[in-house]
Amino acid sequence: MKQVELNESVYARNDSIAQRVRQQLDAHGIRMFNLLGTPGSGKTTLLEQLLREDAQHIAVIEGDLFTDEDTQRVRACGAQAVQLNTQGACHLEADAIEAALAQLNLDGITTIVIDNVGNLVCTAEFALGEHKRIAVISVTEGNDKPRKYPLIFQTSDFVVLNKMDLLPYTDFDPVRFAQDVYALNPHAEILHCSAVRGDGVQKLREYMTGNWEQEEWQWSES
Amino acid sequence: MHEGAVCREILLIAERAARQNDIRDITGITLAVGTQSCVNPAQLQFFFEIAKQNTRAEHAVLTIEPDDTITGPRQEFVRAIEGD
Ligand SMILES: Nc1nc2c(ncn2[C@@H]2O[C@H](COP(=O)(O)OP(=O)(O)O)[C@@H](O)[C@H]2O)c(=O)[nH]1
Ligand SMILES: [Mg+2]
Repeated sequence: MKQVELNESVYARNDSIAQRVRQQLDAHGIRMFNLLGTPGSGKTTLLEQLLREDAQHIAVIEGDLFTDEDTQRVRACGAQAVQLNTQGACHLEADAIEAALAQLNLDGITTIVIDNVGNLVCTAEFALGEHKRIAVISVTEGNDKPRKYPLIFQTSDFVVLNKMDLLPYTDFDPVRFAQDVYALNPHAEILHCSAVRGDGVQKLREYMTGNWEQEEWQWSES
Repeated sequence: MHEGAVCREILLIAERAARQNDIRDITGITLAVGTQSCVNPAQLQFFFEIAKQNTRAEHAVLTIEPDDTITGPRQEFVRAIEGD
Protein backbone atom coordinates (compact mmCIF):
# COMPACT_ATOMS: atom_id res chain seq x y z
CA MET A 1 0.00 0.00 0.00
CA LYS A 2 1.39 3.37 -1.05
CA GLN A 3 0.22 6.76 0.14
CA VAL A 4 0.88 9.94 -1.82
CA GLU A 5 0.29 13.41 -0.39
CA LEU A 6 -0.93 15.85 -3.06
CA ASN A 7 -2.83 18.90 -1.74
CA GLU A 8 -3.78 19.87 -5.27
CA SER A 9 -6.68 22.24 -5.92
CA VAL A 10 -9.39 20.91 -8.21
CA TYR A 11 -9.36 24.35 -9.88
CA ALA A 12 -5.60 24.33 -10.60
CA ARG A 13 -5.87 22.96 -14.14
CA ASN A 14 -8.61 25.41 -15.15
CA ASP A 15 -6.73 28.33 -13.57
CA SER A 16 -3.54 27.54 -15.43
CA ILE A 17 -5.39 27.41 -18.76
CA ALA A 18 -7.08 30.71 -17.86
CA GLN A 19 -3.67 32.23 -17.28
CA ARG A 20 -2.46 30.99 -20.67
CA VAL A 21 -5.56 32.52 -22.30
CA ARG A 22 -4.85 35.85 -20.63
CA GLN A 23 -1.23 35.82 -21.77
CA GLN A 24 -2.42 35.26 -25.31
CA LEU A 25 -4.87 38.16 -25.04
CA ASP A 26 -2.26 40.45 -23.51
CA ALA A 27 0.10 39.68 -26.36
CA HIS A 28 -2.63 40.94 -28.73
CA GLY A 29 -3.55 43.92 -26.50
CA ILE A 30 -7.10 42.58 -26.20
CA ARG A 31 -9.34 43.03 -23.16
CA MET A 32 -11.73 40.23 -22.32
CA PHE A 33 -14.90 40.57 -20.24
CA ASN A 34 -16.90 37.79 -18.65
CA LEU A 35 -20.59 38.70 -18.68
CA LEU A 36 -22.39 36.64 -16.06
CA GLY A 37 -25.80 36.63 -14.44
CA THR A 38 -29.21 35.10 -14.18
CA PRO A 39 -30.91 33.62 -17.25
CA GLY A 40 -33.05 36.40 -18.70
CA SER A 41 -31.39 39.26 -16.82
CA GLY A 42 -30.59 40.88 -20.17
CA LYS A 43 -26.98 39.89 -20.88
CA THR A 44 -27.45 39.39 -24.60
CA THR A 45 -29.67 42.48 -24.96
CA LEU A 46 -26.95 44.54 -23.28
CA LEU A 47 -24.36 43.03 -25.59
CA GLU A 48 -26.46 43.92 -28.63
CA GLN A 49 -26.52 47.52 -27.40
CA LEU A 50 -22.74 47.55 -26.95
CA LEU A 51 -22.32 46.17 -30.47
CA ARG A 52 -24.60 48.80 -31.94
CA GLU A 53 -21.72 51.32 -31.80
CA ASP A 54 -18.75 49.10 -32.40
CA ALA A 55 -19.30 45.66 -33.87
CA GLN A 56 -15.98 45.75 -35.76
CA HIS A 57 -13.68 45.69 -32.77
CA ILE A 58 -15.66 43.43 -30.45
CA ALA A 59 -15.79 39.65 -30.78
CA VAL A 60 -18.19 37.51 -28.80
CA ILE A 61 -17.99 34.04 -27.28
CA GLU A 62 -21.52 32.81 -26.59
CA GLY A 63 -22.16 30.19 -23.94
CA ASP A 64 -25.48 28.42 -23.60
CA LEU A 65 -26.59 24.90 -22.84
CA PHE A 66 -28.27 24.48 -26.19
CA THR A 67 -28.98 26.38 -29.45
CA ASP A 68 -27.09 29.13 -31.27
CA GLU A 69 -29.88 31.68 -30.90
CA ASP A 70 -27.73 34.23 -29.09
CA THR A 71 -24.92 33.83 -31.63
CA GLN A 72 -27.44 34.61 -34.36
CA ARG A 73 -28.52 37.74 -32.45
CA VAL A 74 -24.93 38.89 -32.06
CA ARG A 75 -23.99 38.17 -35.69
CA ALA A 76 -27.03 40.16 -36.78
CA CYS A 77 -25.33 43.15 -35.11
CA GLY A 78 -22.32 42.60 -37.37
CA ALA A 79 -19.93 41.04 -34.84
CA GLN A 80 -17.87 37.87 -35.02
CA ALA A 81 -19.18 35.24 -32.66
CA VAL A 82 -18.37 31.67 -31.66
CA GLN A 83 -21.03 29.51 -30.04
CA LEU A 84 -20.14 27.18 -27.19
CA ASN A 85 -22.83 24.69 -26.21
CA THR A 86 -22.25 23.06 -22.84
CA GLN A 87 -24.92 20.36 -23.47
CA GLY A 88 -26.33 20.71 -20.00
CA ALA A 89 -23.26 21.84 -18.05
CA CYS A 90 -23.94 24.89 -15.91
CA HIS A 91 -20.85 26.99 -16.65
CA LEU A 92 -18.01 27.61 -19.11
CA GLU A 93 -14.42 26.57 -18.43
CA ALA A 94 -11.13 28.01 -19.63
CA ASP A 95 -10.29 25.20 -22.06
CA ALA A 96 -13.43 25.94 -24.09
CA ILE A 97 -12.48 29.63 -24.21
CA GLU A 98 -9.01 28.75 -25.44
CA ALA A 99 -10.54 26.64 -28.23
CA ALA A 100 -13.01 29.41 -29.09
CA LEU A 101 -10.21 31.99 -29.36
CA ALA A 102 -8.55 29.82 -31.98
CA GLN A 103 -11.72 30.11 -34.08
CA LEU A 104 -11.80 33.91 -33.99
CA ASN A 105 -9.95 36.22 -36.35
CA LEU A 106 -8.34 38.56 -33.82
CA ASP A 107 -7.08 41.11 -36.39
CA GLY A 108 -8.44 44.50 -35.40
CA ILE A 109 -10.22 43.10 -32.33
CA THR A 110 -9.73 45.15 -29.14
CA THR A 111 -12.38 43.55 -26.95
CA ILE A 112 -13.81 40.10 -26.41
CA VAL A 113 -17.02 39.57 -24.47
CA ILE A 114 -17.96 36.15 -23.11
CA ASP A 115 -21.75 35.90 -22.82
CA ASN A 116 -21.68 33.21 -20.12
CA VAL A 117 -24.30 30.56 -19.37
CA GLY A 118 -27.12 32.09 -17.29
CA ASN A 119 -26.34 30.96 -13.76
CA LEU A 120 -25.61 32.81 -10.52
CA VAL A 121 -23.72 29.97 -8.86
CA CYS A 122 -21.27 27.92 -10.89
CA THR A 123 -20.14 30.48 -13.45
CA ALA A 124 -18.57 32.51 -10.64
CA GLU A 125 -16.18 29.73 -9.65
CA PHE A 126 -14.39 29.35 -12.97
CA ALA A 127 -11.78 31.83 -14.19
CA LEU A 128 -11.82 32.06 -17.98
CA GLY A 129 -8.86 34.37 -18.59
CA GLU A 130 -10.99 37.50 -18.41
CA HIS A 131 -9.64 40.89 -17.31
CA LYS A 132 -12.92 42.00 -15.75
CA ARG A 133 -16.21 40.47 -14.73
CA ILE A 134 -19.55 42.11 -15.37
CA ALA A 135 -22.51 40.69 -13.43
CA VAL A 136 -25.95 41.41 -14.88
CA ILE A 137 -29.00 41.21 -12.65
CA SER A 138 -32.40 42.80 -13.13
CA VAL A 139 -34.89 44.55 -10.85
CA THR A 140 -37.51 41.84 -11.45
CA GLU A 141 -35.38 39.23 -9.65
CA GLY A 142 -35.80 40.48 -6.09
CA ASN A 143 -33.55 42.20 -3.60
CA ASP A 144 -32.21 39.09 -1.93
CA LYS A 145 -29.85 37.90 -4.66
CA PRO A 146 -26.56 39.37 -3.35
CA ARG A 147 -27.23 37.81 0.04
CA LYS A 148 -28.14 34.44 -1.44
CA TYR A 149 -25.51 34.26 -4.17
CA PRO A 150 -22.54 36.19 -2.75
CA LEU A 151 -19.68 34.86 -4.87
CA ILE A 152 -20.82 36.37 -8.14
CA PHE A 153 -21.03 39.81 -6.53
CA GLN A 154 -17.76 39.34 -4.64
CA THR A 155 -15.89 38.55 -7.84
CA SER A 156 -17.44 41.03 -10.26
CA ASP A 157 -15.87 44.38 -11.05
CA PHE A 158 -19.04 45.86 -12.53
CA VAL A 159 -22.58 45.05 -11.46
CA VAL A 160 -25.24 46.04 -13.98
CA LEU A 161 -28.65 46.49 -12.43
CA ASN A 162 -30.81 46.04 -15.52
CA LYS A 163 -34.46 46.59 -16.47
CA MET A 164 -34.59 49.87 -14.57
CA ASP A 165 -37.49 50.81 -16.86
CA LEU A 166 -39.55 48.24 -14.92
CA LEU A 167 -38.62 49.55 -11.48
CA PRO A 168 -41.99 51.28 -10.85
CA TYR A 169 -43.76 47.93 -11.26
CA THR A 170 -41.62 46.09 -8.70
CA ASP A 171 -40.82 46.32 -5.00
CA PHE A 172 -37.10 46.32 -5.77
CA ASP A 173 -35.06 48.71 -3.62
CA PRO A 174 -31.88 49.85 -5.45
CA VAL A 175 -30.48 51.49 -2.30
CA ARG A 176 -30.74 48.28 -0.32
CA PHE A 177 -29.26 46.41 -3.28
CA ALA A 178 -26.24 48.73 -3.36
CA GLN A 179 -25.71 48.29 0.39
CA ASP A 180 -25.75 44.51 0.00
CA VAL A 181 -23.37 44.57 -2.98
CA TYR A 182 -20.90 46.96 -1.31
CA ALA A 183 -20.96 44.85 1.87
CA LEU A 184 -19.70 41.95 -0.24
CA ASN A 185 -17.45 43.94 -2.55
CA PRO A 186 -16.56 47.56 -1.73
CA HIS A 187 -14.82 47.96 -5.11
CA ALA A 188 -17.81 47.02 -7.25
CA GLU A 189 -19.12 49.63 -9.68
CA ILE A 190 -22.90 49.48 -9.86
CA LEU A 191 -24.51 50.67 -13.06
CA HIS A 192 -28.22 51.24 -13.54
CA CYS A 193 -29.26 50.23 -17.05
CA SER A 194 -32.20 49.60 -19.25
CA ALA A 195 -30.79 47.44 -21.98
CA VAL A 196 -33.95 47.62 -24.09
CA ARG A 197 -33.90 51.40 -24.05
CA GLY A 198 -30.12 51.70 -24.16
CA ASP A 199 -29.99 53.65 -20.88
CA GLY A 200 -26.66 53.31 -19.06
CA VAL A 201 -25.02 51.51 -21.97
CA GLN A 202 -22.71 54.42 -22.82
CA LYS A 203 -21.46 54.44 -19.25
CA LEU A 204 -20.74 50.71 -19.45
CA ARG A 205 -18.89 51.25 -22.72
CA GLU A 206 -16.78 53.94 -21.02
CA TYR A 207 -15.91 51.57 -18.20
CA MET A 208 -14.95 48.85 -20.63
CA THR A 209 -12.70 51.07 -22.73
CA GLY A 210 -11.50 53.13 -19.75
CA ASN A 211 -8.03 53.69 -18.53
CA TRP A 212 -7.64 50.98 -15.93
CA GLU A 213 -4.54 48.84 -15.76
CA GLN A 214 -4.94 45.74 -17.86
CA GLU A 215 -3.88 43.66 -14.90
CA GLU A 216 -5.06 40.13 -14.60
CA TRP A 217 -8.35 39.49 -12.90
CA GLN A 218 -7.67 37.95 -9.49
CA TRP A 219 -9.60 36.12 -6.87
CA SER A 220 -9.94 38.58 -4.01
CA GLU A 221 -8.48 37.17 -0.81
CA SER A 222 -11.47 37.92 1.40
CA MET B 1 -23.98 22.49 -8.77
CA HIS B 2 -20.90 21.64 -10.80
CA GLU B 3 -20.00 18.40 -9.07
CA GLY B 4 -19.49 16.75 -12.48
CA ALA B 5 -16.58 19.10 -13.22
CA VAL B 6 -15.13 18.70 -9.73
CA CYS B 7 -15.34 14.92 -10.04
CA ARG B 8 -13.55 14.97 -13.41
CA GLU B 9 -10.71 17.04 -11.95
CA ILE B 10 -10.38 14.75 -8.91
CA LEU B 11 -9.95 11.76 -11.22
CA LEU B 12 -7.48 13.60 -13.47
CA ILE B 13 -5.36 14.56 -10.46
CA ALA B 14 -5.57 11.10 -8.89
CA GLU B 15 -4.77 9.20 -12.08
CA ARG B 16 -1.79 11.42 -12.89
CA ALA B 17 -0.41 10.94 -9.37
CA ALA B 18 -0.99 7.20 -9.65
CA ARG B 19 0.94 7.00 -12.93
CA GLN B 20 3.82 9.02 -11.48
CA ASN B 21 3.98 6.83 -8.38
CA ASP B 22 3.46 3.46 -10.00
CA ILE B 23 0.08 2.86 -8.42
CA ARG B 24 -2.03 0.56 -10.61
CA ASP B 25 -5.03 0.34 -8.36
CA ILE B 26 -6.11 3.42 -6.42
CA THR B 27 -8.00 2.33 -3.31
CA GLY B 28 -8.62 5.70 -1.66
CA ILE B 29 -8.82 9.39 -2.54
CA THR B 30 -9.16 12.06 0.13
CA LEU B 31 -10.73 15.39 -0.76
CA ALA B 32 -10.60 18.32 1.67
CA VAL B 33 -13.37 20.90 1.29
CA GLY B 34 -13.51 24.33 2.91
CA THR B 35 -16.52 25.74 4.72
CA GLN B 36 -17.64 28.01 1.84
CA SER B 37 -17.11 25.42 -0.84
CA CYS B 38 -20.25 24.93 -2.94
CA VAL B 39 -19.81 21.19 -3.42
CA ASN B 40 -22.55 18.85 -2.32
CA PRO B 41 -20.97 15.62 -0.94
CA ALA B 42 -23.83 13.27 -1.82
CA GLN B 43 -23.93 14.53 -5.41
CA LEU B 44 -20.17 14.31 -5.71
CA GLN B 45 -20.21 10.68 -4.50
CA PHE B 46 -22.95 9.91 -7.03
CA PHE B 47 -20.85 11.31 -9.90
CA PHE B 48 -17.70 9.63 -8.60
CA GLU B 49 -19.25 6.15 -8.60
CA ILE B 50 -20.07 6.55 -12.30
CA ALA B 51 -16.97 8.39 -13.45
CA LYS B 52 -14.44 6.10 -11.77
CA GLN B 53 -15.41 3.14 -13.99
CA ASN B 54 -12.58 2.08 -16.31
CA THR B 55 -9.98 4.23 -14.56
CA ARG B 56 -7.23 3.35 -12.10
CA ALA B 57 -9.63 4.54 -9.42
CA GLU B 58 -12.24 1.90 -10.25
CA HIS B 59 -11.97 0.41 -6.74
CA ALA B 60 -11.36 3.68 -4.94
CA VAL B 61 -13.37 5.06 -2.06
CA LEU B 62 -13.73 8.84 -2.10
CA THR B 63 -13.49 10.37 1.37
CA ILE B 64 -14.74 13.93 1.60
CA GLU B 65 -13.34 15.73 4.64
CA PRO B 66 -14.86 19.05 5.61
CA ASP B 67 -12.06 21.27 6.89
CA ASP B 68 -13.30 24.25 8.84
CA THR B 69 -9.83 25.77 8.93
CA ILE B 70 -10.14 26.55 5.20
CA THR B 71 -12.32 29.55 4.38
CA GLY B 72 -13.02 31.36 1.12
CA PRO B 73 -14.61 30.13 -2.08
CA ARG B 74 -13.36 27.36 -4.35
CA GLN B 75 -11.48 25.50 -1.63
CA GLU B 76 -11.45 21.89 -2.72
CA PHE B 77 -8.17 20.00 -2.59
CA VAL B 78 -7.20 16.46 -3.39
CA ARG B 79 -5.25 15.80 -0.19
CA ALA B 80 -3.88 12.36 -0.91
CA ILE B 81 -4.35 9.09 -2.75
CA GLU B 82 -3.49 5.58 -1.70
CA GLY B 83 -3.30 2.30 -3.52
CA ASP B 84 -1.08 -0.53 -4.73
N1 LIG C 1 -38.18 45.70 -19.80
C1 LIG C 1 -36.95 45.29 -20.06
N2 LIG C 1 -36.75 44.09 -20.63
C2 LIG C 1 -35.49 43.71 -20.88
C3 LIG C 1 -34.36 44.52 -20.59
N3 LIG C 1 -33.25 43.85 -20.96
C4 LIG C 1 -33.66 42.67 -21.47
N4 LIG C 1 -35.00 42.58 -21.43
C5 LIG C 1 -35.84 41.46 -21.88
O1 LIG C 1 -35.55 40.34 -21.07
C6 LIG C 1 -35.62 39.14 -21.84
C7 LIG C 1 -34.31 38.37 -21.71
O2 LIG C 1 -33.27 39.13 -22.27
P1 LIG C 1 -31.92 38.47 -22.79
O3 LIG C 1 -31.02 39.58 -23.20
O4 LIG C 1 -32.19 37.41 -23.78
O5 LIG C 1 -31.39 37.81 -21.43
P2 LIG C 1 -30.14 36.83 -21.16
O6 LIG C 1 -30.70 35.49 -20.93
O7 LIG C 1 -29.51 37.38 -19.92
O8 LIG C 1 -29.24 36.92 -22.34
C8 LIG C 1 -35.90 39.55 -23.27
O9 LIG C 1 -37.28 39.45 -23.48
C9 LIG C 1 -35.46 41.01 -23.30
O10 LIG C 1 -36.16 41.79 -24.24
C10 LIG C 1 -34.61 45.81 -20.00
O11 LIG C 1 -33.71 46.58 -19.71
N5 LIG C 1 -35.91 46.12 -19.75
MG1 LIG D 1 -28.52 35.35 -23.57
